[in-house]
Amino acid sequence: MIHRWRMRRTLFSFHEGELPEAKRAVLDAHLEQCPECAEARRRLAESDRLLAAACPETEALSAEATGLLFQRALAKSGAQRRHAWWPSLVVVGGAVAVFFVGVIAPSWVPILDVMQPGTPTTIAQVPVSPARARADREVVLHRDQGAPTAGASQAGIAPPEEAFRVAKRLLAPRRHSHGHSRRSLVLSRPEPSFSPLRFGEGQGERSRSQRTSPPKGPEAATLRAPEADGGVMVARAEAQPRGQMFIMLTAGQVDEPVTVRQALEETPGYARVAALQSDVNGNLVWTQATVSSEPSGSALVLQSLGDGARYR
Amino acid sequence: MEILAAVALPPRTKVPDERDWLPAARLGEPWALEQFYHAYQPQVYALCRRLLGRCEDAQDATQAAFVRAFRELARFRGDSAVRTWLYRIAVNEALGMLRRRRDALALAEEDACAADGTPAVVERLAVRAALARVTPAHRAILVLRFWEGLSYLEIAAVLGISLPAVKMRLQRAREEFRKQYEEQP
Repeated sequence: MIHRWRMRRTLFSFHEGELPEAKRAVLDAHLEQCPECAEARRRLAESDRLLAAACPETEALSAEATGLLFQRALAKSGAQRRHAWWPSLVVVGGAVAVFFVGVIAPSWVPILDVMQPGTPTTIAQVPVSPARARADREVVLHRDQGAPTAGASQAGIAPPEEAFRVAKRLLAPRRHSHGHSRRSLVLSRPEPSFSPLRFGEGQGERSRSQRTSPPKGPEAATLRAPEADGGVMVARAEAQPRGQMFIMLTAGQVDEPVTVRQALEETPGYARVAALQSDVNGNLVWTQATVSSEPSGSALVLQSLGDGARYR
Repeated sequence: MEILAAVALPPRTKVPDERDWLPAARLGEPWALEQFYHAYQPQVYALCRRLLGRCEDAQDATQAAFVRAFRELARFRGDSAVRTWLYRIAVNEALGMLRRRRDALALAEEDACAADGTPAVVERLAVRAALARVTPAHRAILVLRFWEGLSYLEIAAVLGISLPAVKMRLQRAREEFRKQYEEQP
């Protein structure tokens, strides 16, 4: 005799095909002589059939609703929240720079007559899907310890010349305070080296030792701009199997906040991020990456700037 | 060393591999989150639609699910498939909405209009109406099993319960559904 509750479990296992062969024979024998259990088995099978047959067709969301839903989800998740403070930082930074240049610096700056960026030199060029050109212009800058930084945003437009001027003013007081303000200096940017390397997957947080002996991985183009203190600034474009990743890194010791980093421009067809660094010996390092929309498609371009930049 | 700037470029192909965007999505890169969203939004929306009935509710639940997913993706360790993990979030969001909702599940709009009277249609409507009246937990497991076609193991992972608990709950859900189905006028 099989108890009722146990029968339910046995029927369920039988229905799911989980009942061992020996027990199945026992159950079959029971079902033949028990109309109640036979009916329970029939209803179980019918329930499954009813449920499966009633599966509704679900309509797909429209492209507009899909896009709207994504934008809302992204905004609510805070995934872009880290960008939100950049525009205000740019505004505040700009105001400080104007105050510095207009009020404080003139009394400190010695001879700073000529300082022009050189002709841009293309180092690497990576094609980008035209459909994603707008998304490509998303640029993220991370806050630096104590150094002036800026993020790419529509409010953060500043031409390279402006970045140079800001750098010049920032450099000047420090030199003055060290008693070198009246000595003419000629600053030359160290020659960057460009070499295609192979890196493993990952984005940019490898140690220096890892970079010197890169593991096998996707192709990467790396710009290394040496700094006077032995450090190196690295701009790297990684070609992933189905995409690319551009990363600008900085390494080495900069003992004073004499670094200017600028996200320069963002227009409907063009975005640019650049970094200008200077150390106590007056070496300037400037690298730049642009993403632009062109008739034939879009392109990511890595460039070196500042050849022949002089500071006297 | 620190990252000074990063410009992440999207994959070139139209159907990107999950391995291409998942690491960047964990870092919160918007383009990768978009890939993640487009890869799973249709499935999540369909699941929410089947669980909740109404189109507007399904959109709300889908959005809430992706908000949570975007926030928690950095902590996703890959112990389960991304789809299973995302389904778990979506089911929790939908169950929360079901429990907050007092009225019975609305029948889909096409159900209300499809009054052609054929036995098959009448039967489908009766099944959906019965399913609308079972408890949210039972509705969820029935939808996952019969409409989403998940295995017991997948259901266990999505609902966060053991395999024996899945079988037990499914058995009770069937019984409750049957009771509701037979009690209909």
